[in-house]
Amino acid sequence: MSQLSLFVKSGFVKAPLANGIGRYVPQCQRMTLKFCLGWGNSRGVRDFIQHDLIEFVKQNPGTVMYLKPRRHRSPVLVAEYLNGGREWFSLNDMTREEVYKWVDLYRTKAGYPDMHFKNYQHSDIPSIQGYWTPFTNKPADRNMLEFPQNSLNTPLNLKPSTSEIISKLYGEPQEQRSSR
Amino acid sequence: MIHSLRRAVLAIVPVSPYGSRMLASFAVGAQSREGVPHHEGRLQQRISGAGTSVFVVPHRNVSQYERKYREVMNARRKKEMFVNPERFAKPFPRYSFVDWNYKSELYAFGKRLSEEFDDALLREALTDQSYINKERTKQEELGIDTTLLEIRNNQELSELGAQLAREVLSRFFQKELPLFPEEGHTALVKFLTSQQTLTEMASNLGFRDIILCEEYPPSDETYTRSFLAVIGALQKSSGNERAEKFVIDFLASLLCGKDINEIWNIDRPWHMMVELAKQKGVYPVEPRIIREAGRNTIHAVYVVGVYDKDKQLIGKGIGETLDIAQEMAARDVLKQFFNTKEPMPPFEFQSANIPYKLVPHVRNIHK
Repeated sequence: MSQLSLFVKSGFVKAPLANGIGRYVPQCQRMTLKFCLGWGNSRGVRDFIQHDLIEFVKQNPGTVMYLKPRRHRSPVLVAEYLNGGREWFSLNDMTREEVYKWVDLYRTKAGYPDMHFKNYQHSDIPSIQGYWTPFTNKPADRNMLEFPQNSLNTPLNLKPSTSEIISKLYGEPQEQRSSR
Repeated sequence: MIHSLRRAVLAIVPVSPYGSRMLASFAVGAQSREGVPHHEGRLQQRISGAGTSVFVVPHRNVSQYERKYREVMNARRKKEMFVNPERFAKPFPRYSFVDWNYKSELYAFGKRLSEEFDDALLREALTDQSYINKERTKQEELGIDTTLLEIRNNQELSELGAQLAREVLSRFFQKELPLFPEEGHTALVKFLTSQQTLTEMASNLGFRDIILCEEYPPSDETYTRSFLAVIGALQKSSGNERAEKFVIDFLASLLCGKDINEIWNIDRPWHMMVELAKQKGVYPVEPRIIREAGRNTIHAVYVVGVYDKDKQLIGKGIGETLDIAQEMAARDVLKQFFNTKEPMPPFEFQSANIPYKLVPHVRNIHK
C-alpha cells in the first residue's frame, strides 16, 4: 500500500480502551448478511448459511448475526463495530469457503477504517528517559575535570595526519644522513 | 459539508509545472468525502507528493454555473426539510432498522463482556427514566391504564454500581500503590469514575444502541448512569467477585499508558516533600544547582538536585527557571517516596478468565 496515497489515511496501530489488558472484548457487535434466495450470485452465501452459520454463531456468541433475504439483489455483508464503525462488503459470486474467510476477517476487525500503518508496532510513550537537556547523556567523569581541557578541544572526527600514519607504520623517522 | 467546501474555490500556486492542479483537486475531494469538519485553516495545509508541493488557499468566489446549480439545490433541500423534517434528523437510531432483535443484542452484550447477566436486571440497568416517561405518555394517548406499566429505571442500580466501583478501585490502589497517599488514591478513583471516562467506556462497549432512552445518541449522563448500573446488575446477577473483576478489568486497565503522577495534581510539592521528609527522618533537605546553562537567555536551563541530611542526592528536576526546576525536583523526590517513578512495573490485572482467543491477522511484511 503506497504511503503517498491521498485517499488512504495513514496512522498507527491502536486498540480501543486498552482492549486485552484487563480482558479481551471482541469488537464486532453485529453482522448482517443480505442475500437473494434465488439468484446464483448468492449461492455461496446460501451455502454458508446452510452449512457453516450455526457453528460460526456458536463460536462467536458476542456477535449478533442477522440474515436479510431480499429479492434480486447481490449478496452483501455489513459488519458493525463497538466504536461505531460500519463496514460494507460485497459477497457477489463467492464460494462458500470465500464467504467464510471474509466473514471471519470482518469478525476480527476493530472497526477503524483501513489505513496504511506507518509502523507495525506502536507505543504511546516512546521515551522513558525524561526531558532532554544539554546535559543529558554527558559522561559523568566530566564533573571532575577542570576546563579548558585540551583533549576535549579537538574535533571528534579528526583523522590522523599522513606523517602520524607513517610514523605509526615505520617507527619514528631516523636522523637524516648528511647528503653526499 | 460538501456545500461549504464548494464555496471555497481554490487558487493553486504550482511549485512544479506539471500535475499540481490535479493533485490539489484530488486532495479536496478526499477531504469532502471523509466528512472532515471544514474550516479555513484546514484547507491551507501543504499537500505534497510525487515531487510536487502545493499550497491551497481558500477563496470565496463562486463561478456562474456553480451558483445556478446551488440555488436550485438549496431550494430543493429547504422544501424537503419543510415537508419531511424527520428525514434530516440524523443519525438514525440502529434500533429503528428492520434487522434488530433486542433480546439477541442483550444476549450478545453479556457474552461479549464474558459475563452472565440476569436478563431482567440487565434490561433494568439499560432503562433510562426518559424512556419510561415516553412509554407512559404513549400509552396514555392510546387510553391504556398506565398503573399496570411496571418498568424500573436504572437509578438504584447505578447508585449500587457507583459505590461498588469506588470501593473496588480504592482497594485495588491500596494494594498496588501502598505508598501512594490517600489523597492520591481518591484522585485516581475520581478520574476513573468521572463522567468523561465512563462515557468513553460505555460508548466504546456498544451501549449506544441498546440503552433505552428518549434521545439518540444518548447523553453523557445517560451513558455514565447505564454503565454504572450494568456494574450493579452484574453484582446482583453473578455476585461480588465477578463484579470486582469487571471493574478492575475494564476501569483500572484504563490507567495503562497513563502517568498516574499527572492525574493527581499536587498544589505545593515542595511543602509536601518537606513534611514527608520530616516524617522519614531525612530532614533537613536542601536544593542545589547541579548544572546550568544559558543564564539570562531565552534558552536558560537549570538542573536542581535535592540533597538530604546525609548530603545524598534524593532527586533532581529540570526547568527553565530556578523555581520551576526546584518544584520539579520536589516532584521527583515525591515520586521516589511514593514509589511511582517511571518506568513503573505494570499493575497485576486479573485476566485469568479470557474465553475468547485473539486471532491475529498480520501480514508478513517482509515478503
